[in-house]
Amino acid sequence: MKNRLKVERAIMDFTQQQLAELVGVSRQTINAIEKGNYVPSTTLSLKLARVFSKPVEEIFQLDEND
Amino acid sequence: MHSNYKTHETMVKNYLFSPVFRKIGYALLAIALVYYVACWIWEPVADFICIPMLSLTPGMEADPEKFHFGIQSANAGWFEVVMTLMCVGCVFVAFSREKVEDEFIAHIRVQSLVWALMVNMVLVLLTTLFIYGGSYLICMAVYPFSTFLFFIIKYNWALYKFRRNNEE
Repeated sequence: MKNRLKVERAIMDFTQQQLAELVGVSRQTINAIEKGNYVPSTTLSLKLARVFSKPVEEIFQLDEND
Repeated sequence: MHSNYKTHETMVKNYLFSPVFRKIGYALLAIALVYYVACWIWEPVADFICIPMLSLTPGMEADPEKFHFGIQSANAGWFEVVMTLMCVGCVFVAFSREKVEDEFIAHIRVQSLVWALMVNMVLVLLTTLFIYGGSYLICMAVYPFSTFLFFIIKYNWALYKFRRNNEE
């Protein structure tokens, strides 16, 4: 799965820590998601999308291997 | 900015202990280890504890040809004390929350638990096939704790790698 989390976070000028606090996870989890090392749960994905006021599909996309 | 751990905290708090229990668990395991070594070295220490208990199993003097279930008195000694401390200590250490708990920590916890159970089952299988007699019984007495040991090692290693790889 690919994601635009880092891009969206930069647009909103959030640090990883700030974004982590908004959605209720650790900063390391946000880092892991941005690096593609962790696929977030549906709940977390929806929370992230709500923070950026965008549909979840704009932030997370399936890639060819999924 | 505000913290919003409520949903995940609700999920985990039903079956995980508070983080302070991890330290209590390690203390209990340390006490169990020290007491076990002391009993092994000095016999008077081993004989010191003798607690009357009720046993739910037939005693050694029961007629082996007649199976019966009853309650009779028994004495709990150093072995029961060590096993109790180990049981409680292992559960406290293995199933205490982290100070900062989120879904990735829960993911690591589940993965580590599955890994530990599988490794332990392989050990049980190999022991069953290649070890016999009294040694087999000794191994079987250890295996409930080895599951927890494997889990604690795997979980803490995975947690360390996760935090190190995602520090930047």
